[in-house]
Formats: sequence, C-alpha cells, structure tokens
Amino acid sequence: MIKLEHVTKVYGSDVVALDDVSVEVGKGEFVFIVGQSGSGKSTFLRLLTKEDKPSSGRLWVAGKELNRLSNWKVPALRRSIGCVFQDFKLLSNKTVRENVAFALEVIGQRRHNIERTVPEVLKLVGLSDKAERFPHELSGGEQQRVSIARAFVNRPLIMLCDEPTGNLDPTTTEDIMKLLERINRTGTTVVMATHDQRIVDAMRKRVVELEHGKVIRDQERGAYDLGV
Amino acid sequence: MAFRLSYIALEAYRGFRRNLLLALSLVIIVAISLTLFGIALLAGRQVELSFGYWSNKIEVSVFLQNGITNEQRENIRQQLQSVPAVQTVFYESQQQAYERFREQFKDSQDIWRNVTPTALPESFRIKLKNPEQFALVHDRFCNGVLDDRGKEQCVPGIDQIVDQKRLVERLFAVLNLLRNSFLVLAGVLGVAAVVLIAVTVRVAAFARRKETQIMKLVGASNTYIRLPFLAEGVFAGLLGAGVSFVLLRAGMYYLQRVRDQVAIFKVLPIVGMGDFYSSWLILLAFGIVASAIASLLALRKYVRV
Repeated sequence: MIKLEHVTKVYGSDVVALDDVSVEVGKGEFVFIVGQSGSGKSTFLRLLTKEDKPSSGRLWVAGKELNRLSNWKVPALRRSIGCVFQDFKLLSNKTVRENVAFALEVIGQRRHNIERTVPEVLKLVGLSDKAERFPHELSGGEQQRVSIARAFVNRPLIMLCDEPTGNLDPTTTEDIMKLLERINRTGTTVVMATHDQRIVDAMRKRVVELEHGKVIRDQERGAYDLGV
Repeated sequence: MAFRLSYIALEAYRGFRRNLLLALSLVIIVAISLTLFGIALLAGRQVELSFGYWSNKIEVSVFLQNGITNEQRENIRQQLQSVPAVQTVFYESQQQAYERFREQFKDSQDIWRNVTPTALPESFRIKLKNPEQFALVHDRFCNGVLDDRGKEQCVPGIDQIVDQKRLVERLFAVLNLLRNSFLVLAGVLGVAAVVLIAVTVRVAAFARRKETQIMKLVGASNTYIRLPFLAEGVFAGLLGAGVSFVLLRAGMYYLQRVRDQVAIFKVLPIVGMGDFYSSWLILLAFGIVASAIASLLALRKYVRV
C-alpha cells in the first residue's frame, strides 16, 4: 500500500529531513511513526500525499509511483487518502454535518449520495446527535472525531494521522484510538505519527522510529522505548 | 466532474463582500480604464467616419475677387482646366454659395439672416486627380509670399486658393491625438487594474486558506479550488464593463445633444448607437478576458495546488 525506497528529503541546501528511508506498509496495517520533534515524521506524511517531493529515492502510494504521477492526477491520489491533524482543521462557520459533507461536495459528489453517506459516518464516530452543532460547541475529542469522520467519509484506502491526540487528554485519547482501530479493522491502512509513549505501548502495533531523518527501528508489535 | 455554478457564484459573491473596499476600488479602476479605452475606440471610429465623409468632398476652392470681369473669369477657368492635376472644375456663383450656406445652417436662422448673397465670394471648386497635388495648382496662380495683411499675391481675379484638405487634416490630427492619449491612459490604468486584481486574489486566498487547504487534502481538483477566485476577478471585470457602459452611454447622450444644438456639427456624420454597442462589446470581452488572465496569473502565485 505504501513503499519508500531510499527516500531522502533535503530542505534548502543542508536541512536533512529524511535520510535514505526505506519502509514498506502493507494493506490493512496499523503503523506508528514515532520520534522526537524534527525527526522527520511530518515530512514522511507530507511526501505520501505529494505535498512535497523527495529529493531522491522512489515511493509508491496506493499503487501509484509518486515520482511519475503528473500534477493533475494528484487530486485522485488524495481522494484515496484521509488526513487527520493535531489541530483538527475544521471550518468554524460550518456545522459538523456541513464540515463532513464539504469533503464530498468539493470532489463533486452528488447531493443524494452525500445525504446518504454523511449520517452513516457520523454514526460511526458517534456524533449523530451533534450533527447540527458548530465546532466551537464541541469538546476537543468530539472535534477530532468530526475531523476523522471527514477524512473517512470518502472511504479512503489509507488514513494518515499527524499527532491526532496531541491536544487531547488521556481518556479522550483512548476513545480516539479505539475509533482509529475500528477504522483499521474495516481494512483501511492507518499510519499515525505520534510522540505519545502511552498510546504506542498500549496498542502493541508496528512501530517505525525516526531519528534525525533515519529509520532507527522498525518493529512488529513494538513499544515506544524498546530498542532505544 | 460537475461544477455547481451556484457554488462558484456564491463563493465569488462572498469573497466580494468580504473585501468590499478592495473590490470596489477594483471595479472603479476597471470601469475607468475600460471607459477611456471605449472613448479611444469611438474616437477612432469617428475619424474613419469623418474621413469617409470628406474624402469625396475634399476640394480646392479658388475664391475670386469681387468685381471680377467675365473675361477674367473665363480666362481663369481655362487655365485651371489646362492644369494636368485637375480633374473637374465647377463654378459656384455668389447666389449658389448663398444657397449652400443657407442649406447648411437652415436651423440657425440667426447665422444667415444678416448674410446677403453679395457677402459670399464666387469661386471655382476643383476636384484634383490626386488630393496631394494641391501645390501644383496653387503655385501656378499664387506666389506664396504673404503681404502685411497676411495675403499672398495671386493672378488678377483670384482672391485666394484654399486647400480644404489641410483643414480636415488638422481636425483629424486633433482626433488622433485625443484617441492616442486615451489609449495610453487606458493602458496605464489597465496595468493598475491588473495589479489590483493580483492583490484581490491574494487577499481572497488568505481569507480562504483553510478551505483551500482542506480542499487540497480531500482531493478537490485544481480547477474546482481555483474557480471561485477566478470568478471573483472576472466578476470585477464584468461589473467594471457594466459601469463603463453607463458612463459611455451618458457620454453618447451628451454628444448627440451637443450635435443637435450646434448647427455647425449638423453636417458632420457622427458615431451612432451601432458603433457604441459594437465598441462596448469589445470592451466587455476585453474586460472579461483581461481580468481572467490577471486572476489566473495571480492564482499561480498565491493559490498553489
């Protein structure tokens, strides 16, 4: 589903964000990308959505080789990827339902299709009763569930989560992780960047650790601090 | 992919309201620029019209002295006819000159009421084979040396020889200068309008940066993301063209009123409503195309996808 071969990303002339990274993620896997701030986690995710291009190396996402993907095909790539962020990125002037529907409207989905799909995904994330609320009326955990609903509503093959629990308290974090696990069980590949040790230890999933842009650990069913 | 027109129109309208002052100044500058451009177009059309009118009528007038004898007159006619450059020679008596004068100013009685036939000189009106050959005729009869009264010495019986073409050329020069200055002004303001469109797009891109970011991430096509910004710029171009229509229409109205009131203009053909509408259609197309191109250039810079 995702494959990187000797990928290096250099910003400017000397800031090395990723250094000869080779990683493969299979369909339906759940992978944590861990590492300190500045270790290259965010760059890793940005390369997968083609927001950035690697300086060298090749990478494949959802069966497409990104180096060869022409710009006008990038939207199609992104439709097969759902993105979740630490700061939710919800539109404050739209309700929960409208925020989720927005993701379908802007890719030209038909209205009746949107009206059928949005309630389903809101039910999945447990927000059916808050569909007409605005983001500022929700708790942090609820806002993150809206953002997950928006990322998942188009049934992507891959979910990319950049510190999705970074702003949340431990109980809420647990709820979000359960939700991501449920999404993973539907066959969706989940890649989650985090530096939250407790989550990684509790989940016992594959862990890829980055340090100064290098992969220093790639472990099945790992924990955060093992092998350091 | 189905674009919803209502979505694009609504987003463009919202963008407009959000930056109302900026949008207003953009519309005003586009309107002024297009109006000047329109004036230039109409002035150019006027030159063409006037030229068409006069090119058949451009003549050389040989005004004869008062009290000329029949013999002198016949002598001059024969000499004129013998000049190779001359095509036709037509004699206009004092009475005929008077009637032509009355006809030209028939609506302005106060001009011709006190004019008697004897106040107007009799003349030979000459059509040249080539209008450039005025000097050939002139030099044959007059010496070109002006005396203290500003008149040159001509053969007996001829008062003066006037090249009507030169008078017309002077008018054309004024019209052309007018047209060119308006074109330059329109161009300068057009550049300002392009800069303002770029600023407007940048401000709009900043105001909608969050939407744009989300659209990119969920895989909206580039066209879909950019179309509202483009629509905003083109909307300004359209409104500017609309305002220029009103301004130019008002200008046409006053032009026609002046024409109807001032007798001397009555004989002139003048740009009509057909010219006005066709000029305005050019302005409309120009406004839309130019603002679309300016928006697209700004989009490449400020709305990266």
